[in-house]
Amino acid sequence: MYTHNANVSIRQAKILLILQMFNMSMLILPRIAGKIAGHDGYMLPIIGFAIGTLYIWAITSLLKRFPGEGLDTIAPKVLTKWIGLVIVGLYVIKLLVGAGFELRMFAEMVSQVLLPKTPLPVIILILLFAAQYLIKSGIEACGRMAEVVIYFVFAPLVLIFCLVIIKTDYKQLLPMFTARPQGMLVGAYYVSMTFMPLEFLLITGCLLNKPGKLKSVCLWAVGIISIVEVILIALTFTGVGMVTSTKQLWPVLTLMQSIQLPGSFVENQEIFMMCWWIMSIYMYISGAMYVASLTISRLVHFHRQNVTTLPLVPIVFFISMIPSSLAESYTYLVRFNGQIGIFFLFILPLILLILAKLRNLGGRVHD
Amino acid sequence: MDKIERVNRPSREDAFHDKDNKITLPLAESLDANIKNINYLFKNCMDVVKREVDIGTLTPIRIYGVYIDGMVNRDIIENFFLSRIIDYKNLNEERIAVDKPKTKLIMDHFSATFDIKEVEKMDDMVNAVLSGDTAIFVDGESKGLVIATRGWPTRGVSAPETEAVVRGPRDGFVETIRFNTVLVRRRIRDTKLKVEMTTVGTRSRTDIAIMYMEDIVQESLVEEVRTRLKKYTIDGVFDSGYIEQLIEDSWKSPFPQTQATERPDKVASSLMEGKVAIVVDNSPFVIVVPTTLNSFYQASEDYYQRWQIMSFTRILRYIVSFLSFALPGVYLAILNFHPAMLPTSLAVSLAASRQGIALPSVLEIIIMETAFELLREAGIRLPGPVGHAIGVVGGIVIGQAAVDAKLISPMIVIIVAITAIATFAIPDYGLTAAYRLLRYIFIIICAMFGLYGFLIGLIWLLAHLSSLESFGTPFFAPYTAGDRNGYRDFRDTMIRFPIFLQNRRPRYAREHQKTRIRLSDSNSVTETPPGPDSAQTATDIKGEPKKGDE
Repeated sequence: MYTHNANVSIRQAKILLILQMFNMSMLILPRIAGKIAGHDGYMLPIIGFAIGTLYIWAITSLLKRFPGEGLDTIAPKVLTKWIGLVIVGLYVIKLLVGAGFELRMFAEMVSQVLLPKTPLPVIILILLFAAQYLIKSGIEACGRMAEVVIYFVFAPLVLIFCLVIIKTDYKQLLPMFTARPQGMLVGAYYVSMTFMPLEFLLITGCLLNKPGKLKSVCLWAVGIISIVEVILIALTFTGVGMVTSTKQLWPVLTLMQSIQLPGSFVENQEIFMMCWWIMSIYMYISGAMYVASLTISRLVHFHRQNVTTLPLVPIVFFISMIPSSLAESYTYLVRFNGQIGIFFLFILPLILLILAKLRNLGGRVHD
Repeated sequence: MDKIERVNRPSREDAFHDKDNKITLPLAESLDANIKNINYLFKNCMDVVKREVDIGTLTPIRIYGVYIDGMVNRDIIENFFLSRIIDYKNLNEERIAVDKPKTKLIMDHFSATFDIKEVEKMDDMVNAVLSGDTAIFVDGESKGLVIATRGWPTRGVSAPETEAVVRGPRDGFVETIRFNTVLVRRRIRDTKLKVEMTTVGTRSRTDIAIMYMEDIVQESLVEEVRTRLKKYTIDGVFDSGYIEQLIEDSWKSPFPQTQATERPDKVASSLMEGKVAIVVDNSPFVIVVPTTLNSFYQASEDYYQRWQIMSFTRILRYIVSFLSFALPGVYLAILNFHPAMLPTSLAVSLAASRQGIALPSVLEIIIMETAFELLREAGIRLPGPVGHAIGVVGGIVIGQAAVDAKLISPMIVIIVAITAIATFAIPDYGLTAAYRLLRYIFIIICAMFGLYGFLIGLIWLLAHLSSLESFGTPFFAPYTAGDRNGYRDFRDTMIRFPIFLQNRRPRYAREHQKTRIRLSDSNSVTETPPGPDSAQTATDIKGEPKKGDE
């Protein structure tokens, strides 16, 4: 078993989801939004939210049908044992690959802003071991940590927003409604990939102390993140410029560098601000590793479920070292999330839900 | 295999003791047999006083008294027991009929004290003697008597040394368990305050009192305390520190997971919140469980002074506790990795102050921090005035000399001094010790990885604290899981809300006992502020103006 009882409160679940969604993708979001939808990029999260509700519907409906269960038991039930196990195996691989690419992007950012001389593997390994330390204590510890970390992450963010709002050039948001609807939809789809941590719920959804409120938890978290995304994209466009945003790899980082605190004791304060961002990335990496570890433990019926956390460290490490350069890691991350992410976020839950209904499987039938 | 056998073999078992060192000898009816056994058990114990006395002369009852010299109050033995036996012999022997068990007879006619009881086991008799009571063996009875005569030299109640206050009671716990339970009971005159006694230590047989408010505490918590106290069999317990380390949740953590306090008022208020106190004989520190990180920042005085001032003080405590472990590390990180963060003038000034210093900054800090730890340790061990002299010599003379000799930079002295002061501003010594240890970890990790290292260290620390629990309560509560008690526990965290707003007990208390403050004429919780009732007019308060007042 993990050290403590394995359940989280509604509040903890909301905060966990928010922090996990607030990951590296946020730093590159204005670039993607600007490239696809131009000046209308800031509207993408609104449509993205609508798409997100579809993911939420698919996942929560599936879990509602199989109360107290996760993908590890649902998939073998619905798709027959071996196909189900293969699907669950792919799910674990997807989580680890996603975490690895995310980690690589994060390490690149740290290397650029904080530690230019330190080798990437060292940066990556330190974070991985820190993540392993947290997840070996189980989801309860993750939930508690999230409740504390949220202040560290969002307090500087609010400060940034306040400082940027003063000097923004709102003309950067004009003209409005120039993007083609097709482009807007594609853009919204990419933006909705920031809701990727919803896929963690396929395993952890049953760990809520009030599983009936899972849908409202998800809607709440996705709603908050969508609002933050709208503000972040809009402020990056107005602070850095829409065209510049599309040319920068991390336009949000450029936005932070542009802030000058009058009379401040500290210069180059983007270092401080990025520091707090690290905590959010950490929560995402921890989340992915925890879910992967828990899934493996359940599949092989380990009594002590946290024994699988440590072996994941080298696996994620080697995955993160696959891209050969910063540009390649960016491409890998965006393509992987865009092309594979949707499968576990929407397609698989939907297929399982339909098949379960057709085969009269699941709790509702017995009710 | 060998190892298992070794572990299982009772180490202290012999003909007269079991593996828990309890005496297995029976209490015999024959007084001679009991005397023989007692003499064997207390062989070479010259401090034990043993005497055989006959009660009466017509039909004499042989008794044998045993006590330890210096541990008893001889007045009780002589005035309330022996004198009555002598009076009986001399004056009124024929008046008492010997028609009931002899022990009953002695209790009824020869003991002028309430605190006398029958005992059926030799182990209990001997244990009573070793605890300062007097054991009376009676011929022809397989029961003995124990008279409470404890009276060893004790230290008087004095002000707590580690938790001094400007405003508040000055009495602190002492080494005598009964004094300590009394100090708490004086503050809670309620029959619901329960004091359960137990002993721990096969050889020390240390008395331990478990105190709780019967109707406020969660029964599961008391049960958990009982279970954990019984978990280990240990030979001796000489301070509550032993118990603390045996009952805590995580032995790997440097953070204290129980609260040790010298203040009876703190224990009393904790009991009222639904916590459990563990009082250990021979220790002036009482353990309170469960505890949280937040409770280490709560000093007794916080509740005796105005809420605005004490809220400010509490915020200050949180800031300084952060500085106490983080400041040297952050300084190193900025100096070595991110000097561009500093304004140019400051960066130049820092660089100038380090001109000519041969040692790397990390070594400077480690040397200074270690020197400070040495001074602190030396100051504690040495007598008061010498300790102060060491502080002056070490802190000022050596510090100045080291700067003049270009061994360390002045900035390092400032950093270490601020860190030291910050350390002592935290109300709890156990927490301070944890932060002192953490400081070195942060120094090393920041020296290696700059602010990234600092952040990773902070994440590691938060992860550790998030995983900690104290008797089922998250260590970070109420900052985490604060919703469990409707966020009301936040009223006693960084901001200490006014007393009238702290109207509900915290999460530890039973659900139906949450109300702490209500208006006297109401049954419901109130948040009505003190002062004149808003419905009253100025005239009501001052009274009707009298004629001529104008």
